[in-house]
Amino acid sequence: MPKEKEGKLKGISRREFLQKSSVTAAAAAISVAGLPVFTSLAWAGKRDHILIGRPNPSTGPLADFGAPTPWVDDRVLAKINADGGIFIEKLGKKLPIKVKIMDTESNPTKAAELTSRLIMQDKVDLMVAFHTPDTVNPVSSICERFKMPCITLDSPLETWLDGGPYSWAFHSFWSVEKDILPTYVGMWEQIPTNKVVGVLMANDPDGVAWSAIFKNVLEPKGYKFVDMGRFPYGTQDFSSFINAWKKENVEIILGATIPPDFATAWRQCRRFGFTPKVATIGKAILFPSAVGALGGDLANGLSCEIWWSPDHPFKSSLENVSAGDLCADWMKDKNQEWTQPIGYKYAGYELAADVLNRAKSLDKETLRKAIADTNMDTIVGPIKFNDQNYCRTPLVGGQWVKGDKYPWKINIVYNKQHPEIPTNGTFTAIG
Amino acid sequence: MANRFTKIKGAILTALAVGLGTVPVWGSEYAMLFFMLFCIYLALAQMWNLLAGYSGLISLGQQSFVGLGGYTVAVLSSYYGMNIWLGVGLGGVTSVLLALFMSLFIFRMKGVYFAIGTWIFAEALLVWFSNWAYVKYGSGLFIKPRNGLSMAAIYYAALVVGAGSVALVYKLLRSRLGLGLMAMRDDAQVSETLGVEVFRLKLYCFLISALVTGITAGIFYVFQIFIQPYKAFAIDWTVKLVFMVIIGGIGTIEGPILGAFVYVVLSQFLAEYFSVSMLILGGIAIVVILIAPKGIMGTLQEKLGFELLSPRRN
Repeated sequence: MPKEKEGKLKGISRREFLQKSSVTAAAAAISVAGLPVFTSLAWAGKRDHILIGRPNPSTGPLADFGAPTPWVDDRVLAKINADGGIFIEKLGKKLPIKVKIMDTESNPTKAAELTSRLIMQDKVDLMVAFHTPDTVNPVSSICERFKMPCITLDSPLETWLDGGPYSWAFHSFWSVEKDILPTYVGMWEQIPTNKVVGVLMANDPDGVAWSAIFKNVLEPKGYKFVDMGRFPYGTQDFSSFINAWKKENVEIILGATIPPDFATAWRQCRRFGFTPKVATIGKAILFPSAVGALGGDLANGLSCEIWWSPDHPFKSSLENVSAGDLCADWMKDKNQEWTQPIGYKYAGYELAADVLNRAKSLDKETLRKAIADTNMDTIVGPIKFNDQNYCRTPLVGGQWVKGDKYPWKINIVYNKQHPEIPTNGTFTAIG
Repeated sequence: MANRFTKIKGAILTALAVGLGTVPVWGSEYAMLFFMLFCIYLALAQMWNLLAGYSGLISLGQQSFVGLGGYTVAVLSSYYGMNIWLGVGLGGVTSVLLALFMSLFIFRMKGVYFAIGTWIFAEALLVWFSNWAYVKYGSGLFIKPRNGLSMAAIYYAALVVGAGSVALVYKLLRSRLGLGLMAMRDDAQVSETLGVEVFRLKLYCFLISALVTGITAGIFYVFQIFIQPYKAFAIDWTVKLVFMVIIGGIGTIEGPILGAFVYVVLSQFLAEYFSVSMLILGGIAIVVILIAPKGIMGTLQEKLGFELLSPRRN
């Protein structure tokens, strides 16, 4: 017990000392831990390697997109660094490329924060990112604001263009209006339907953009849309949607959702005894793991977009490897079925390597010009940016059927826009 | 009144002022980012503290003003090409108007009901904005300033609200309003019989906090470049503010300063460690509450009589 003299505490008890010192120590430790984080001086150009920033959705609802990282990243970098790396004129020597991959947790706010960090703290030389507007849009916007050359792929063009106009960010992928819509409709018109479409679209950039475009273009062509509105991520109850679809005799389901939400909705459809003739869903059923997770034979007959497959007739610019070879290597190494992002991640690095090789410099403006001048063939197809900084890549339509080696496989069933990509199946109704 | 701390206090305050005022000069861009975040969270935490620590109003709905302030800037700059700082200011105005409207309902409630009432308003705004075609539903809006914006400009704007919020609270508490607040905090009924207009005081504090929160959020979203309803109106904002103020010390002016600093250091330091950061933040909050229930600054004040910015007039 502390001794008391005239109301003032004399001396300090052990308990008090422990309390105060631990509080002060905690505060001090926290501040000291933070110091190196922001007092480090500028390092760019004085490094012995080129640093590429890579915000990636490794966890969260978009984890399936991010899953082939770091397998693809490591493989491509090994190839690029095999003979020393990229020749930088100013330094008169070759520098290897290193990449800093950071997990955005599928969260656009986190993606924006990580991008700011990569630009300002890690001082990366180039930013490369992929996988849906939730990753690509914040990364492109922040890079544009802070004048960082940025290469992105794998997110629909319209939602990316919303954040424009861009000078520093460059994007490659397909357009909803010019690619997705004709492909989906092309598939639908291969079987007889009543042209009544139920809309299952999330309240995110994709859902908002796709629903508007489809309705604008197809309603004049005789399609009727049953749209119950945009639903938030994580919705558990789709009964109002399904009841409305049943009432209106919907035969086609059109969707754009994240994988877990589609799983919930589709299972509920089955439980409510609702089986449409067609279900074409963007974003949610691109992956064997996602369709497998639906359970039973719920995946049979689901259709979606295919932007890359082992059958795509494209080759790598870095090694003598075709799309099919890359998938075979993946399946051998990981003992898992191939997925579409593999090709696009690979292509992102092909672009980065090509840009760096042509620029021979780490100066941001030089890199920007080099990206703008890109004209090459990659493992996802030819890439050449137009004056709005984007490039359209090919798209075909696919359908899931029971597989032989793996539980489910996806067939290319529609390729009218890109006959150079062969089909290996015909589109059929579900059930 | 001179006590043994006056010289140290003066030195600390001057050092802070000079240091923060010149970050763009001595610091890297990352330092500007860091201190910008610190100033923004400081302003938000000071306002939450003003309500909870001094006015007895536990608000779980500050995110209403965060979202509205952010969306005001987004709409005015994207759709009407308005000057970005004017848009930020108007974000504060719309927030005050919202607060006035909210007060019609929630000021009829007390204690827990008031807290839940503020939260419900925020959730209602979330649902409204995410289903409103004008702001493009859930896909959110981009904030595109007409002319380019440098990091230094955004930093100075944040510094103005951050330092300004501290100065505002300090002045407020040392004024007649502050005396009334402290009387109210000690015993609301007695102070009312003595002539303190409890309802008016609470309303003023609520409106002031809405104004500053709206403006601060505008600056935050100018930095973030895009705003989405699900994140802008999320309860996460309240969680962060509670964390900062509890760790720093509720009911003290310096508490939110320390709390905001600790929060920004931790969240930046832990940014590379996935979701573990949330676990660690929660763990730290629990440890501080157990060891120092009045927060770090609150405990320092209590034990050592150390107050950097004293709300007491003597």
